[in-house]
Amino acid sequence: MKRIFSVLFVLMTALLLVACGDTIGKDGEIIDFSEQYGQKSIIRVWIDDEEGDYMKEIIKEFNKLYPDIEVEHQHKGSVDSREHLKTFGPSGNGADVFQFPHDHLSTAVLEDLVLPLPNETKDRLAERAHELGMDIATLYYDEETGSFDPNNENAVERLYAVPMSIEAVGLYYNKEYITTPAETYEELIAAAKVWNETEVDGRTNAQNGDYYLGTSSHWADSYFIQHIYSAFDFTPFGPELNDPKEVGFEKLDKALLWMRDELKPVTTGTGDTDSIGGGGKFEEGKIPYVIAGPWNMEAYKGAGIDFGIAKLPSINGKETKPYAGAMMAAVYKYSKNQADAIKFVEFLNSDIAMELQYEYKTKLPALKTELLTDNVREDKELMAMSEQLENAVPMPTIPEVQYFWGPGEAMVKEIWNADKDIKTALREAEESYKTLAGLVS
Amino acid sequence: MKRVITSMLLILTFALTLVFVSAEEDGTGNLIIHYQNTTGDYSDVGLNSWNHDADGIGGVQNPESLKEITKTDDFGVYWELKDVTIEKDKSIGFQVVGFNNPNDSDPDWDNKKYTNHEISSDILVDGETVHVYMFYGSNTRTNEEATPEPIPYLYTNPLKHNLILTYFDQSNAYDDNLGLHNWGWTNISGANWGSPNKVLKNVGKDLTGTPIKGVVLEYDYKEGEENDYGVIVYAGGDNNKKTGDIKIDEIFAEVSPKGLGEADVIQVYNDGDGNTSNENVILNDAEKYILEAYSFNLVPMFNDEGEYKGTFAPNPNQVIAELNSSVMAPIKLDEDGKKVEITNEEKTTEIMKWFKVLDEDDNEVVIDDIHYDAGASSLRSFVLILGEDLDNTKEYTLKFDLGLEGEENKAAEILVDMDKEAPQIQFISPSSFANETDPDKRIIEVAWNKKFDQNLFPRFVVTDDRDGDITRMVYVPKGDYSILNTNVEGDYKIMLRVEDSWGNVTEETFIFRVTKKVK
Repeated sequence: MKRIFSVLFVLMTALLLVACGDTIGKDGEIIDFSEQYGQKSIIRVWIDDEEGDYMKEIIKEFNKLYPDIEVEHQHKGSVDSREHLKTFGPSGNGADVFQFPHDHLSTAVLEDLVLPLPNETKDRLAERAHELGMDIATLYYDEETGSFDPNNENAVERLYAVPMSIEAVGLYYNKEYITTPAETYEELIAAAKVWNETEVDGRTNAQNGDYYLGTSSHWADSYFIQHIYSAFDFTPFGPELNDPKEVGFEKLDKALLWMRDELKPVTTGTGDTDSIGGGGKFEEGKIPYVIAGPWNMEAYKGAGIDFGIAKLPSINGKETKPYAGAMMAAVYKYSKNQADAIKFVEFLNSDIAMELQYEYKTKLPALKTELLTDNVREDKELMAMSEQLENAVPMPTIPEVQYFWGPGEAMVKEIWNADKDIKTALREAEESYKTLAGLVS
Repeated sequence: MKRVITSMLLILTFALTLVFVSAEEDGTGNLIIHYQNTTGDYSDVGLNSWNHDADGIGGVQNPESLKEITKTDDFGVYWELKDVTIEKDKSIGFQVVGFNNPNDSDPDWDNKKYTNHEISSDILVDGETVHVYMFYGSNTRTNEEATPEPIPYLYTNPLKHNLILTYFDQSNAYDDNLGLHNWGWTNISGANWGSPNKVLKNVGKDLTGTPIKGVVLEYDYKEGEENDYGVIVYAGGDNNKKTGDIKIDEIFAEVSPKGLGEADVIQVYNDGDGNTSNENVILNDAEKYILEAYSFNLVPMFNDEGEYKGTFAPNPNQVIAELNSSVMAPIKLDEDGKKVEITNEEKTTEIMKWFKVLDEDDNEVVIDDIHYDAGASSLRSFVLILGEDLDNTKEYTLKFDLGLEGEENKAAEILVDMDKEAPQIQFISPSSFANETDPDKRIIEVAWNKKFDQNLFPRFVVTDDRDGDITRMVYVPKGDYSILNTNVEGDYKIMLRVEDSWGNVTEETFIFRVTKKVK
């Protein structure tokens, strides 16, 4: 009996083992779907892209790297972003990332809207971003006092935004008239004198208002004429463009003398600084040269002008250097998703993001030249601007720059239009700036 | 000799008289006088006019007597004075007055003198029609009124195209530097950026006395050619623009401008600084303008290309309040009535008094804080941070009241728009799930003892009434309903969860059935 029970026991155990062994597999797997379908974070970005096509592609590419960050794009004009953030930002109803042009940066920092980017981000960007773009996006700032004074020992240098695109004015020429663009203003002025006196249907070109060289703005626009000032060793706010006590108008005597005696006669004759619509004349195909920016290209192409862009000519053997401007993206200082927002703004500097920006917006990427893609390199106009940018100066970004433009313009107009004594006009501009900037008691 | 001299004197006198008379009368011209008020209601409007010889109009005329003469257009009402003899140094008296009853013989002189002018005959042009535009509250007859300065009418050049531009800030916080950045116009010089052209003058007022500013811009319009005329209303910088570019070729891209002499009218109201959308710029539509500029209300919620704007609760403890027109930010005055510095805390304290959130039983919901643009002189957007959560199964009213006396006060109220609907998860695959509402019947068979086939995971779409397509926001919460073990037969419930921006949550489950039946 004992034997029977033992055999039965062994048989049952064997059966049990076989049965159990068949229920638990060895080749399957255990999956926790919460890892694959995890909760995502959301960031909201305000970028100027009305149709949304550009941002759709940007987000698609961003999500290939960061699938767990949901990006919500809202089209917002670059000027509106700051204003809306002031009201809606603190409650989380604003944006985590917003975009603005270079001259808004210092004001946005003063308004406590911008997060200084981490040093690691700055280091990574420094390897790729155009140096001018980095210069424009970097500020010395004392958070305690709200001062941008570089001499303030509490001011810290920080990167506040990622430059997305950069631009500068250049010398646009109509290939119907010009085969080889002038390299010096002396050459250009000499040719202008001939052109201006050439008769067409009984009137000279000058009499018709078709002066050889025009500007798409006007001759008292400090942004456009900075390239002339630079040939006389002038930058506003000192050599680093950041000292509010050194606006420097009084150093412009030689530059303004040259403008009055050399430039004015061949560009407006006896007319005022804005008496000739150079942009319109160039677009109509009536004049060989205009000083213009990339924002004018579409109009010129649309008008069928076969144009090229040349470097701005030198004056008295000295290079002329225009301002460089940039469009930039920053992280909102009180974003609840700072880390993800930083990832996004860094991504905007990536090769693919820059390529998409070129494809959809035709803007020059704010990248080191050697990192530009073939598509961009084959764009002659943008590459001409890129070459111009090699000797451009960054736009001043200190808040006091808003008080520079008005007195600067008035100063040129007084000399050009009203023949005011140059030294007097410079002194008045200096005083006017100091009053506006609150630098006089 | 005496006779000769007398005759000569007579002839000379006669000749001089002829010259004098012909010099004084310089032909005839037409006047069309337009009037606009801030309500759009002209039923009580009559006239008092003198010193002209136009037919059908003259003296005191009540609304009833003018009913065939008063005409309406997209500006307001107007009257035609035809063949008016032009007499040098003479002016035409013209008052738009209100009558308490349409048949009264006299208007309400004390309370309803809407405009009060002497129109100089210098503006009349022989053989041409000049249009005159008067706004409520305009007055150049200062001998009668104790107004500090004349508020003129505007008039057009009959030989040019004309654009009247007006600007109104309901908060009356007009910047001292307010003006135009303009280019191309034939009657005013171009203005360079940063130096606003100060051509906007007071041309009327609203019922509270807030000025309306305006200017006439003349230009030569060429059909089919470029017309490079434009203007921006601002106070010197990008951050205080009141409009974007207003360009002739853009505003008349679809319609032609009115003919020579008659003005197209662009009316702008303050919609906040740095505003370049031009949604506050209205062409030839007084009815729309009056509604948007002069009446005061809280803007209801609306969807602007995927972004919610207006007044609504974005989540349970916040309410966004949007006024349709700006109010002046709080200021502080000393005992002498002079403006002194006000701190942000003091401003916030004042502003919080303007708002109340009430539930259905009129109980106040606590407001802990309020966000707004602290640097702005006029305000229209606010975020109220509540001290308690709103219950989206109930109703709440947001009330706004400046707390001022009389006509100056602004008050409005609106039901708070809340997100009452949770997102919807709609299964697309497997097809058996599409209409299956019982989660215990949503079963997907999975092969035992094999790696999981990812294609078996169900596909779905998630939509939300406010947030739209939020499919990507779905997740599987870690825990009891997130695990699948294909080594052990059995049913494994998996949960999908999604939350909208309000915090409404939706959960759906389905079952992976691990079975040997599937090979």
